[in-house]
Amino acid sequence: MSAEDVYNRISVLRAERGVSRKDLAAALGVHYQTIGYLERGQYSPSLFLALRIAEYFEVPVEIVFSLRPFPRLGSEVK
Amino acid sequence: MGELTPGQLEARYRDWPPRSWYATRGRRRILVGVGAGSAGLIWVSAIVCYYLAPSLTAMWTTFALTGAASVIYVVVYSALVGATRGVVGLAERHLDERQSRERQKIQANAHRGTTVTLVVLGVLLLSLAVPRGETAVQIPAAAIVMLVFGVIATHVILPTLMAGWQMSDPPPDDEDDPDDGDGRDDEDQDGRSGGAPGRSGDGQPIDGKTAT
Repeated sequence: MSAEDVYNRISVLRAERGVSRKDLAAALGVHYQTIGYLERGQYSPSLFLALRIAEYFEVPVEIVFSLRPFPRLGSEVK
Repeated sequence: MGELTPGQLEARYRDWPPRSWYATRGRRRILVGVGAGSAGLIWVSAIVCYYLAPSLTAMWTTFALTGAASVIYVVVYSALVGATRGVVGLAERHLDERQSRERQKIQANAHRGTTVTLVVLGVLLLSLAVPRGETAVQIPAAAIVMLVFGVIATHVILPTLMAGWQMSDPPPDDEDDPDDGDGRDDEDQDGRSGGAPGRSGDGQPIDGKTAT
């Protein structure tokens, strides 16, 4: 992990809420490919966009973005 | 190109140029090579003018090369506007923050490219202008005009070519792409499967690694 890696779980939240990339992009006012680049980790959003994404999903920003990899679901149950 | 909106761009580039032209990095780079070739034709016509002007041969060769360069570049430009989804071609106010940042990066690189071109050209011209012994080199006016045109064309073309060269493969579109109408993923023509990572909702973590 490099010092500037940012991890996100936008696609998990998006899948959970049944929101398409285009719907999310339209709500955020960005190009739909930008959502794809965010999900693939090829683009780090500005603080403004990160906060708007968190606001859209109605969760704190640290639920969506992290400086460390998110744990696999179920990994803490073992 | 006039004021194109993102919606118009998506509609305009749905059919032509075919996405297979720019679906993969390799194909985009071939396009960039062709575009660079079109700029090269202008430089070739400057060289032709240097050796043959003033003459009818020089004039018609220049017209033919410039015409060919223009036609080729228009086609390449169209394809690259489609490929970059507006990073090249759209007005700044229509770009989102990622596209805007990408354009700034491309323009900065292209600026460096133009600087290098100008320095090389300056050194070349100075070496020609300095008299060797008793011989002073005369440069035909037509060659100078084409040289200036070549520099301007390179300056204009370079950002588009840089965009096409540097662009990574876009993420696959949603499987249920509503404006596609053909039931296929938009970006799937290079054989990649659609479906975003984690899109199936299977609870897999998304560890999007991002280097800022």
